[in-house]
This record gives sequence, structure tokens and C-alpha cells, in this order.
Amino acid sequence: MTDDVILRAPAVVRGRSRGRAARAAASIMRIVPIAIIAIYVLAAVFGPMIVPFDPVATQIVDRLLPPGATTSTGSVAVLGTDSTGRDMVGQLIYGARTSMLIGTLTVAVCTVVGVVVGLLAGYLGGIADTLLSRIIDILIAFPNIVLAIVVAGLFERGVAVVVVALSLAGWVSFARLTRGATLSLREREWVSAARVLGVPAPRIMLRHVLPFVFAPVVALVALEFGLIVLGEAGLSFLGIGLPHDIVSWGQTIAAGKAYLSTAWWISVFPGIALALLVVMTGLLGDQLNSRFQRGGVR
Amino acid sequence: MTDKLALSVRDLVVSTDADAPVRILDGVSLDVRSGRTTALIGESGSGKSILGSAVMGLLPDTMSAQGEIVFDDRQVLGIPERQRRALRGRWVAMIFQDPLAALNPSQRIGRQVGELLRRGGLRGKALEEGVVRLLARVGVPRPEERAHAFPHQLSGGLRQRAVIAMALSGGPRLLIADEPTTALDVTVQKRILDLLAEMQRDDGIAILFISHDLRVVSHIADDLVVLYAGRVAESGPARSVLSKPLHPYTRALARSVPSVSAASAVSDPIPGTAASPAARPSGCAFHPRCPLAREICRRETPQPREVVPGRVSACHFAEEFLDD
Amino acid sequence: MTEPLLEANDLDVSYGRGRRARRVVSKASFAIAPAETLALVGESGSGKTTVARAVVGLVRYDGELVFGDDRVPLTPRRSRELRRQIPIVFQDPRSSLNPRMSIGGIIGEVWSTHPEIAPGGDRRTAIAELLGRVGLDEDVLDRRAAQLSGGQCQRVSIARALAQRPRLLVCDEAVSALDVSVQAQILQLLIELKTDLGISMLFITHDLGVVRQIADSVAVMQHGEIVEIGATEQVFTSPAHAYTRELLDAALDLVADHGTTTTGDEQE
Repeated sequence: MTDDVILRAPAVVRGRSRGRAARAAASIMRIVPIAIIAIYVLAAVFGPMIVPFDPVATQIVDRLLPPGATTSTGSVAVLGTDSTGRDMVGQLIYGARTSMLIGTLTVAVCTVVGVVVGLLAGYLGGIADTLLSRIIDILIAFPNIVLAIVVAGLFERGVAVVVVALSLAGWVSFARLTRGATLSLREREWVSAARVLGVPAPRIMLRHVLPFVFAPVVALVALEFGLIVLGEAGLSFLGIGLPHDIVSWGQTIAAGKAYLSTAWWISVFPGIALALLVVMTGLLGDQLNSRFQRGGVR
Repeated sequence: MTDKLALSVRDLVVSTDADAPVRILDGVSLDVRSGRTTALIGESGSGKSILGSAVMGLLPDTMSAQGEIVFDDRQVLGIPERQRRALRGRWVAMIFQDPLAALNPSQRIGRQVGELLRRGGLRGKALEEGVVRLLARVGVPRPEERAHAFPHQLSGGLRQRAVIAMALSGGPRLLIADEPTTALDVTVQKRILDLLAEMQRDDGIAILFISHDLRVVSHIADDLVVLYAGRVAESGPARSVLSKPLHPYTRALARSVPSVSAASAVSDPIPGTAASPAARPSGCAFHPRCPLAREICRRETPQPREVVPGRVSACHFAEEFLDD
Repeated sequence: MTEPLLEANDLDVSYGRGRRARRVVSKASFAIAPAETLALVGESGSGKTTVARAVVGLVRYDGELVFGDDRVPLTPRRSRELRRQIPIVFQDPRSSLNPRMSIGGIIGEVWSTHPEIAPGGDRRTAIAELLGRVGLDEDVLDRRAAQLSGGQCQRVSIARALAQRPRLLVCDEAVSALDVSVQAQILQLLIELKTDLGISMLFITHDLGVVRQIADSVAVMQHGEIVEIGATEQVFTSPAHAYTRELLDAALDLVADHGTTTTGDEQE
């Protein structure tokens, strides 16, 4: 061995690391969807206390005012008014409230039904599983919105009908996700150990399987929430959704359809509100999904 | 066989980049001679695989290395990544525990084995012949046919042979084998070990054999380095280390190995579990599990020292083992 | 000879159905006497793990598999009492324990499932005592599997099995994933339990060295069939089947100076 001083000087080597700027940008991107969704929730919950609004009152004098115009009562209609003179800000806030309500109720129904059905089918297997898989196949082949339209059209308009109509297809993705996760969890050794021990099946599902299905289900809740809000708006747009005394973005968009060339703001603002919410819940769902895949149980 | 050093590692320290850095390897030194095998043995958490990555220049981004890694009189630690890459394959190659992970599932075996040959300028018929020759050399039966197979179509043993063929294709002077037989059945394991020994005899390749299995190591190693919690506990010629360990850890490890050829009861196994570098005990890292531990072992970290010519031990009381 | 505790006659196990069915265990016959340890050895795909899974009721089988003096058939739909008597310890120490449950909760589950064997008095004290029996500190009780080492997890699995007051303990590669020094500890613990409590064991492993340390008799499996079965000493010293000889030849021993084999006693 020669002592080549230059070549053999001890060295320090650092691994490459991502730039600070890139990391900061990534962490901002993580906050944005949650922050925007939080604004929607706050508007839905507290908005009506701040902005008084009567969805059925009409003020013909103030109809079709553009954004920023002054109304007959002297207040400023920041986002304009609609064809019956109602303030657009109020419509947006009450619409947000409706969307949140319908979204929460429907997702809750879908989650409970889907998780229970998926858990049973995945864990018990056999006929239960075959039956469920066929039902899922059929429902998947059927466009969700068509199914919802058929059901909503058959009954009197109302919140319950809309929730049921949207849930009818919405639970499928929860069931599918839960079934898949359960199938693989079923083969995990702690589940086998519980089976060998003689733990009753309901307890195994509750204690040894269900807790590990949670994380992916939460991610799916975010994704589905956006789709359901969109579905409700669709039904209301078609006039088979919520009754007229409940403000819905879908109805507002439909009402503004006739004035698109003269009073664009009636359809455009609720449209933007709707699109933004759907995109943000989608982003949040993707974030939760990737976090779950990184930190989840292997 | 020459005594030329193919790899020399001196005082290698690998630490994590966290706010409270952990020295995963804490001053490790070892040599691998051409045509010889040095085995690096250690239990989980000893840092043995990290040493392999450090030598290959494949440490994760979150770790940094200091010290010397010398290939044939050239310090390679700290040289630019481009030069480092040029050494990989031609100077040093690596095989892993899981051959399936080392192979691209969507490419035929022949293409992967021939990668370095192609980069070396071989084309067409010459390339094909080179691949077949390599596969035949590592004992793959019907190599012309197998060159067209995908990894999943081969058995575990054949896959590991294909990986060895890939490793040999650049004509490396040093082969790092990280647990290359751990995932294989015993009958297959024996054949792979025989193959490695044969390659070494023919080409004079130096092998750094990383393993947790003292039995395997005792069959293939010329020299042995015993790692405990990121530090060298003992090193020296394999036969001599195993027959007369100069460190209580080596001795306990050898006694823990179950024997096939003689009925033996498990007699007093080492208590406790291997210390991790993240929570390394004070003084000698082995002292909480050591039957001989005394006051000084808790206080002072023993430095590896040559106890008898060729035999290094990092035990304060290594001399006492001499007259055992 | 005493009546066997477990007896298998012409045990067949297939995976899949109809034309795609693949037989993984074929005509396996063996018996385990009370307090006896039978090792099943073989390479991957030999069917040894499948036999273990049939014994604990995780797979369906054809043929006869009977337990105890009453020769009760061990079907997958067995009684709770039978389940209690035949626990299993798996290979992967960590994933055998529910990652969301505390160690105390995991062991406590045995007694909430089988209240008839639950100890009277304080549950925590009883669990702590059991943990002490397998060489674990009491403070492990409130931790989860991720906070324990592989060896400690395997001790918890053994404690869980002991809580069941088993008659037959099935170990499926129970020491294969452990470091040698820890492996030796666990083997020693199992041998102690066997002598102290008179438990029978079905010990699945690919490591012939481990077999020689723990088993009274050994069955060698290849391609789903038992090719040789007999007392451990006899099989190791005068193997009758060619495959057994091949396995023994391939199994590596620790060689030290002059090619001699070291055992604990031969150390200089």
C-alpha cells in the first residue's frame, strides 16, 4: 500500500438531499386543500349567522343586479343578485350548507353500509362473497348518476330521497375497498392466531380486521365526498333533487342558465364554488391515500 | 493467490443526518485480499449491510460516511458520483439476498446479464455468445434457452446464478455478497457457495461475504470480521477465530449455533438482544450481555487491538481467552 | 408405547378446486405421543407448513387427523375446547401480534375467549406472571409489538400459547426469523417448557441443526410426502432415504480448525 496523500485523504460524503425550497413548496401544497375545505365548512356552519338570507323572499326591484351593485335597501351585492333579486353571496353560503349536509349524510350512509358489507363478504367468503361481488359488478356497470336519477325521479323531492338515491351507488366503492383490504388482512398472522385461538368471528372482524381498514376508508371518504356533492348538484340542476325551499348550487346554476348571456354571475359563481370543492376534496383524498400507503401497516 | 489488497476500509463511520445523529458504523476497519473471502458477520442491527452499501457508494440520502474506503490504493469515498459509477460493475459488483428484487421482472435474463457487455460495445452474435458463456459458467443448464426466460420462470437457485452472472459480467475484482444464500433452500445454498468458491479460484476475485449465519461463513471465509452494534468486536483468520475466539461475543455466538452432526443441548445462550447503534450501551457495547463484564467495561470503550499476530479483539480482557 | 396424543393417517391437503387443484400434502401419516416433540423438516414447497395449518384448523384436509384419547377428529370447525388445546406460534414474530393491541390485551384475549381457564384474582398480575415465565419484564404489558424486539415478540407468542394451557404446541418455523443468539434463547425456553409442563410439540423447521436440538423424532418431507420418519438420533446417524442423506449432506455445520465441528462442549 502506498501512502498517496492526495488520493487517500479521509473524506466526508453527504447524501444528496432535496432542496429546502422544494420541501417548503410541498408542505404548502399539503395545507391548501385542508385550508380551503375548512373555509367551506366554516361558511356552511357560521355563514348564515352573519349573512341574513331568506331563500323564498323575492325583491323584484333588485333582480339581475351585476356584482358590486347597490340594492334598493342600500347594501352592496358583492356578487350580484339573481332573477328574483336574491343576493348571490347568501345563495352561495346556503348552498354550501346544503352541500355539506347532503355530502356528510350520504357519505356516512355509504361508509357504514359499504364497510359492513365489505367486511362480511371479505372475511366470511363463500356465498356471501360471491353474491356481493356480483352485485358490485352490476352496479359498476350502471352509471351512478343514472341510478340516482331513476330513484330520485320516482319519489317526491326531499333530503332523504336525495341521500338514498346517491347512496344507492355510493356504497359500492367502500364495499369494494373494504373487501379487498379484508381479504389480505384475513391472511395476516395475527388474524390466523385469533382464529386458531377460537375468537368468535364478529370479534375478529371488529378487533383484528376493522382497525386496519380505517386509514384507506378515510381517504376514500374525502374522495367520495366531492363526487356526492357533485351528484346532488346534478340532481338539483335537473329539478329532481331538493325541494325549492332549500338552496342548492345545482338549482342556482339551473336558474341562471336562461341568463347566461346577460347575467353570467348567477351560474358562474356557484359553478366555481362547486368545482373548487370537488377538486380540493379530490386532492385531500389523494394526499391521505399516499400518506396511508407510506405509513400504513405493511 | 496474491496477498494484494482489493479493498481496505479504515475507521469507517456512517452516521444518520438527523438532529441527533446515530453512528450506525463506528470506526470499522477491514481488508479483503484478492482471491480471498472476508466474511462480515453480525446480527440484525449490527450495521453489516450498511457497510456493503457504503463500499458500493449506495448509501441512502439520509446517511453520511467518513473514513477511508480504498480500492487498490485509490480512496473512493468522496469521489464524484460519475467516477464512482464507473467503478461499479467493473471494479466492484454486488449480489443480494433476494435475487428476484435484483432482476427486472419485465426483461429477459439474457438481456440483463448482457447489459454490461453491451455497454462494453459487444453486439449481435458476439453479445449473444458472451451471455451464453456467462450463464454456462455460473452453472445454468441449457443457457441458450434460459437466456430467453423471464426471471419468474426460473427457480430461486437459477435466479441467484443469473444474478451472479450479471455481477461477473463486468469482470470485477471485488464481489460484495450480502446474505446471498439466506433465502435459498439448504441443498441450493450449498451449490451456490460451491459456485462462488469456484469463481474465486478461477478469477482471483476478492469476496466480501456479509452474513448472519456463522455456519455458512465458516465454510467459505478466509478471514472473519465480527460486528457488534456497528463496531468490530473481533477479526482474524476465520478458522482461528472460530476455534479460539478472543471476544466473549464471538464465543457466545459460536456456542449458539445448533449443530447437525452432534446431539447438543442449547447451553447457556447469551441473554438479552443485540444492542442497536441508536441505543449503544456505554463503554463496551456488549457489556450488558457479557458474562465477564467488569467495572471498566461499563466505563471505557475498548479499542480493537492486535492481541496475537493477525488476531484483533476489542475486549479489555482478550488476553484471558488465550489461556482458556 | 403410550397412546398417541395426535395421530394423522393418510393426510391429504389440496389447494384450489376442480381441475386447478394442487395437492400439497399427500398421504402423510405420523403420530405424536404425550410430551413428545416431532419435527417436520423439508425444503420450501415440501408441504410441512400446510400440515401445521391442518393441525390447527386453518385448512381443510382429507384423511384422518385425530386428537386425544377419544380420538376426536380435528376438523377446521372444531370445538372451542379443542382450539384452546392446540395453539400455534408462527414464523414472523411481529405480525403474529395485532399491532394495535397492547401485549396485555393480546394475552388477555385468550382468557376472554376461554373464560373457563381464566385465572382468578387480578388479571394484570396473572399476565405479568405469565410474561415472567417466558422471560419478559412486567413493563412489556402495556407496550405494543412494534416496541419490542423480534425475540421478545416471539416470547409473547409463546406466553399467549401457554395462557391457553395447551396440550399440543405447534411451532411453524418459530425460530427461523431470529438472530442465532436469540434463537438459542427461544429454543432453550421451549425445551424448558416441554420438560416442565409435559407439552407435546409439532415443530416445523427447515434447519436440521434446530431439529437435533429440540426434537425426539423427526419426519422428513419432500414434495408433500413424508419420505422418512423415526427417532431423531437414528434418522441423523443412519438416514434410510436418499433425500434425507442429501439434506444432511447439504446442511452446514460450524467448522473451526482442522475441519472439526465445534459444539458448545468442544470449545477450547
